Amino acid sequence: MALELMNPCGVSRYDEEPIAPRLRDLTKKVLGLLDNSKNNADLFLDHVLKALNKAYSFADVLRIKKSSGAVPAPFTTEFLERCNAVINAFGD
Amino acid sequence: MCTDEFFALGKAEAEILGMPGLPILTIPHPMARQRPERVAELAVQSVPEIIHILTNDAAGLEREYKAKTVVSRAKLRYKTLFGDDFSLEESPDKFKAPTSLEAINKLLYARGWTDGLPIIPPTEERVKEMISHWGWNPQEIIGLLPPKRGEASVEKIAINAVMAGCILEYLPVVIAATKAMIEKDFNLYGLQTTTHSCTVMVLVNGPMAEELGINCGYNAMGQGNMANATIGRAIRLVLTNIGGASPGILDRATFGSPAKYSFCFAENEAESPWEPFHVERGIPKSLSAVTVFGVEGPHNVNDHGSQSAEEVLLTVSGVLATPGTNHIYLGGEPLIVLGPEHAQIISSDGFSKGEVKQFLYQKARVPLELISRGNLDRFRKIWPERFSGLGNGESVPIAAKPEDILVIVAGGQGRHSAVIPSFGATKAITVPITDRDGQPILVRERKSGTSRD
Repeated sequence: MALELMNPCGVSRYDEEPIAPRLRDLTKKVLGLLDNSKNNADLFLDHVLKALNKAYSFADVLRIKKSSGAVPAPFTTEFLERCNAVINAFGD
Repeated sequence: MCTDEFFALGKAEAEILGMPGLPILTIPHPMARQRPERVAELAVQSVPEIIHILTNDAAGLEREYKAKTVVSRAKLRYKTLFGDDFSLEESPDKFKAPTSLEAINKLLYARGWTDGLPIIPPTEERVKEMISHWGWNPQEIIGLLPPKRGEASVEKIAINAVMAGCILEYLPVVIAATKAMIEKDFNLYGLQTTTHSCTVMVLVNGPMAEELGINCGYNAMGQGNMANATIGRAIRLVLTNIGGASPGILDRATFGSPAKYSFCFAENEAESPWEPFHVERGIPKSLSAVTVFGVEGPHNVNDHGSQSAEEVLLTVSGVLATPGTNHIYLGGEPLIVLGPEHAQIISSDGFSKGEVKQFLYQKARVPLELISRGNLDRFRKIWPERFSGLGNGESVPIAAKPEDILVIVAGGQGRHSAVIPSFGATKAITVPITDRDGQPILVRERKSGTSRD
């Protein structure tokens, strides 16, 4: 004989969205770097940018930094509107 | 980007945002203590994948990263009951379980739905009885709980409250605490997913505290009282099952704390020389309220010798001023629980709560020489205004301003108080305890005794 029990888990509802269209080329694009203030995230992004700069010429690079890892990112309108791509370092 | 240990958290967040195929590049954990040369090396090694993610076909990337899995060091014991994810929209509201209490607990434990202790089986009868006692609409959604943005309906909250062992009368407190936790400034997402050993502490004020028998006196923060134990436990189950923060998976607490099982008590308003905490927060004394705090476990302040306010508060300052909490570099709201005897000593010397906070702000300072070089470098980046220009011999306060220090009175007789450090990136939230119509619940006659008489 079985007992019927109620599911304690919260239902998560979301509509799937496709990821943003990709860039054919990074040249003359605006690159965003989001530093979540974890140790070495800034250094990591510095070296990523340095390596990317050797291969591509960006129109601009915008950097923002969270005040701590545990709070939402302080996105500015300029950052959201101008960046063609964003690299976020890093969940740690 | 995520380190491999935190990939699961990043992937869950991406799924909740509707992008299960969001490309997440993984790097070896931990990054925090890597030497600069190694950070540079790993960064350069990541660049080809970064370019791949930014420039290749989006549909192909989605398939690739949707399928990506990373083995965590956490020993995962959870199985899913409903396909891949028990919180999916199509998961059944009810499920078949064995009839014996032991077998039910074994099943729910294996699903990761308990806190490791036996639960009361959440039958429809028990859940309906709890909800109808208060006349709530079971489908009313109180809010979405992170990290999985699970819908906290009245029914789901009641299911977890039943499992925790709550009696019918406790439901409004659990609902009020859930409402408070969802407030943006509480930063529940941060609290649920951090490596920090923090939990949600629930403080109850007002007439309902006494009506429900919530302990505010001897052993208030300890075991033995049903209301304290089960309300706090219900909150933890709500956070785990509705919010989805399962230990080792989305709850990344390095070692957690016993306070994560249950942390709920009432303020000892009768023995406090000052106004109750909820009154300080703007709620009339005659009404009842819940405050949620994102905090660590309590640290006792043992002071049997001090004879004056300054002396007692000096001891409290000493316990408060430690480099190992988040206060010095994130600020936040340190919570001080004064035992009634200490509170009387302090107030007898004419100290108001405001003056207590001022004193602690001035005295509870962490000398720079107690902060490691590595931490100083990090803190200077996170809070440059506080740390720049500080030299040897100087010290750092444990709050951004005196008003951020919170003071309550609880406990029985004895010359003890407690410091409860805050997670830092969170603010305490106080809400009135209300009924289904949003009206404050006044202490009222029960329908027919308590459900546990």
